[in-house]
Amino acid sequence: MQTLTDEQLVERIKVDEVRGFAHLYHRYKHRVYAYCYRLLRHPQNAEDATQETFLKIHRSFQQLENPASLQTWIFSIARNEAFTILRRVKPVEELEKAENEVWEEEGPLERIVERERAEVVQRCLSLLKPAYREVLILREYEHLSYSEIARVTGASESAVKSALFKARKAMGVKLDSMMNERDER
Amino acid sequence: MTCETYEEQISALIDHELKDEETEVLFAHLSTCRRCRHSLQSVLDLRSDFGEQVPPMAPKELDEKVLQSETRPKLYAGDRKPMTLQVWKRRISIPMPVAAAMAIVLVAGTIVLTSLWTSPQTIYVTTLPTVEVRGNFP
Ligand SMILES: [Zn+2]
Repeated sequence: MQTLTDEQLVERIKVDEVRGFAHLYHRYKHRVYAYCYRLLRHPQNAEDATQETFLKIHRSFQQLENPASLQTWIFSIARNEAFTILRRVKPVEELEKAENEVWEEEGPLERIVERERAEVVQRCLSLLKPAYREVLILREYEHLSYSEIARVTGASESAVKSALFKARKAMGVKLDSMMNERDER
Repeated sequence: MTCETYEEQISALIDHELKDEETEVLFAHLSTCRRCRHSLQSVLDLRSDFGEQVPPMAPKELDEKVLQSETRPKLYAGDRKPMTLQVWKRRISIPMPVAAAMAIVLVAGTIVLTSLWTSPQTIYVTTLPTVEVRGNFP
């Protein structure tokens, strides 16, 4: 049962919907939750987005055209749910203003410097604009390829490549300055 | 090509998304450019930072919320019946005046029904005060 491929899992759901869907849920729940959590930075919102994601998956399962793309299909649904919540929390104008700006907000450095590097990295990630945050999450945590990230986000592969580069560069610079600041104390 | 362009390629390199020809040119540049070597080190460090983090886990309560309503067998193919269960789990908001009216109707109905059942003669006596309650409600 554990060794089913995504394609086999899709076939199973067609035959035995109840157990098949439960299998799909357990296979993806932590990944979908982690993705939503990292995007939304809020446990309850992440839980709501995850619940809605699986509801939509169940409801629109017939719309999955290619069983091999189950993973990207799931993440694209999760992305829609997470961004719906993001838009509710923050107006669209604020999310989309200054397209070239990588950072969503400036972090209060003083409160960060005392912490561990892992926490600083998380804080840094959370300060990135959602468009940059999501490509890093999908690449570094979900290990999706550029073409898969492009399918999830609806962007072109070259846009994904460019966004990853910008996000990494900005994070590298910010991390350096934060860690230097911390070490000087 | 500028270092900026090479840096974008470095980012693609660590993702295994760089073509062989590009990789060759990039390595040739890396052997001569300190700035780009530093950039490579920086993205590799960032990658290991991400690797060290404990992933957030979906809470246990979610299992019940999703599976209880989602994995009940459908009565017919394409039937949306299991979704109706979900309605009760969602928060339903009713405007205050509607809620108040519903409460009054319930109370009044109960009084009327009770009085009808016990003694039909007291119908008028018991319904009048109910009208007064409705009038006093803000
Ligand atoms: Zn260079």
